[in-house]
Amino acid sequence: MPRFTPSGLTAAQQDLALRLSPITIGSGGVKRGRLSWQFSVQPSVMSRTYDLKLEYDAWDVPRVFVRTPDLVELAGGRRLPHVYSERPTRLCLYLPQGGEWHRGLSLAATIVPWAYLWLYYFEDWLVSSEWKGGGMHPPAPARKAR
Amino acid sequence: MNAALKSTLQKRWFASQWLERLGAVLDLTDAQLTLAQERYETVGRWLAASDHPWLARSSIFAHGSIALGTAKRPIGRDEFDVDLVNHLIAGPSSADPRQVKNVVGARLWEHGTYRTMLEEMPRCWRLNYKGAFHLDITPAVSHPIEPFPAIWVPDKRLECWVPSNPIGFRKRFEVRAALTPRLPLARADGFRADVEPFPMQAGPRGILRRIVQLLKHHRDVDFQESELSDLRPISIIITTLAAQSYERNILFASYETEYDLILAVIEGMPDFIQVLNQGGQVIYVVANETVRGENFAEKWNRDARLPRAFFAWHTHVVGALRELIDTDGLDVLAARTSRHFGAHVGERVLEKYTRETAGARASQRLTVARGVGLAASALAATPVRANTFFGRPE
Repeated sequence: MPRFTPSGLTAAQQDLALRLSPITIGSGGVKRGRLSWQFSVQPSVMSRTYDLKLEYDAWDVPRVFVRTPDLVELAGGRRLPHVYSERPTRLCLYLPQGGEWHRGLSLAATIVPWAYLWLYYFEDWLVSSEWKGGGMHPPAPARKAR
Repeated sequence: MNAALKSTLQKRWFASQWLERLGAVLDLTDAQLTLAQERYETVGRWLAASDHPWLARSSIFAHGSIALGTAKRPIGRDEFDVDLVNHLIAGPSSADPRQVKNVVGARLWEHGTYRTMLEEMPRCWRLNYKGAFHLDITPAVSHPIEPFPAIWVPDKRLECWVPSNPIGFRKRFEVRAALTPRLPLARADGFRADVEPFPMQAGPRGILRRIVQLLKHHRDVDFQESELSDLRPISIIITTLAAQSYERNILFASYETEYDLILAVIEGMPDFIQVLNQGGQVIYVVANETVRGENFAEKWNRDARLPRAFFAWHTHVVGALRELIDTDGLDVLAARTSRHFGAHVGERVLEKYTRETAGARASQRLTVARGVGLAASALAATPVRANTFFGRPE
């Protein structure tokens, strides 16, 4: 069986790009083909500083988690917008299969800036309860027939 | 510049723009101002067309915030105030103030429509344009001794005349408002990509007018709930002290950001209150520089609660400005702005900021710059590529 080789950038190459990027001051590395990178994001100088974790296997999609502060707590009872899960808080940053991200693109140049944008709109959402960043929700799953 | 200093500098740049946006949220619209001017000029023509000899050649002009360019949206009501002087050039200074006021009132009464909007106030006539503005018309005669444009206006009890010089005051204010600071870090086009997230034009009215506007609005909110609202510092005192402090700060100091200048101007205001000792009694003077014999702080010397209220308010407004810098979260910044400058004001300022972000994003100019975060077209920054947020909430 041929070994599966994903095309595009390897985890190690992504790691290097993150290391070199001026907007991902953080730490991490690649272990057994999985990239893990922790970094801080402050969307504006008056914004909070958020601690994020990026996980990436070269054969899967990147996952971005907010570790601190607790966004669910900040939301004060409202459901977080545009997340895959609330706990852990996994951000939803692009349209899957929409061509916005693919394995050939550097995470440092795509996912990371989108995380900044997400967190900016999050702080605005805390005030207005309106998500102004645009975006889409997946259609509700079809009801299973009884 | 080391990282810690740079980060407070960036916060102060951000605060500078935040305050400018705050001012824009508090502004009256050009349409509102234009309409008010059209209306009062019409009233002026009506008054001057009277047969009464005292109203011959009478002129009407604005004073107060409309004239100075420091007007703002009122709190708690729709109508903003337009303060006007009806200068009866042909009116004798020897005439009784009550008589002069009645001549003006009678002429307004002659007009079928104005009659229905007319309300008598202690020393002026009010025309109420419901839902829009009040025209408050104060009659005046020429100052018998001091040269034009000094005038006499009625005192509150209509018993005598008191000196005033609104045109002189306005001209003095305009000279000061035209002074601009030299900000050492600004580029020729005013935009420092590595510190200023979004380029902003300096407001057309200038920083001094913004300062006065913010101060008056903070005062209105500060005294709104209070039973002490009668003690609120009057606008002419706030305006005079701010203008004098602004002039001193511009001429004798330089600042890194507009925020620093604004804070220094406000902090320095009490320096311009003259405190005299007359036979053991403390006398406060905030003199009208443009006419002899008017002390704006005259009432402070009859009611000690007034100077106390001023100094307490001054401490609050300085604290409010300092607090803006010290925030962790745009939502916190918006909440604090609303607390000090009125319900929902913070939200509206944030809305403006978000529209700018959205505009940059839509035109592919949005970037992330190190140490600044999201910025429009910053040099050496990472562009934010087009994306669509997605995701199913649980």
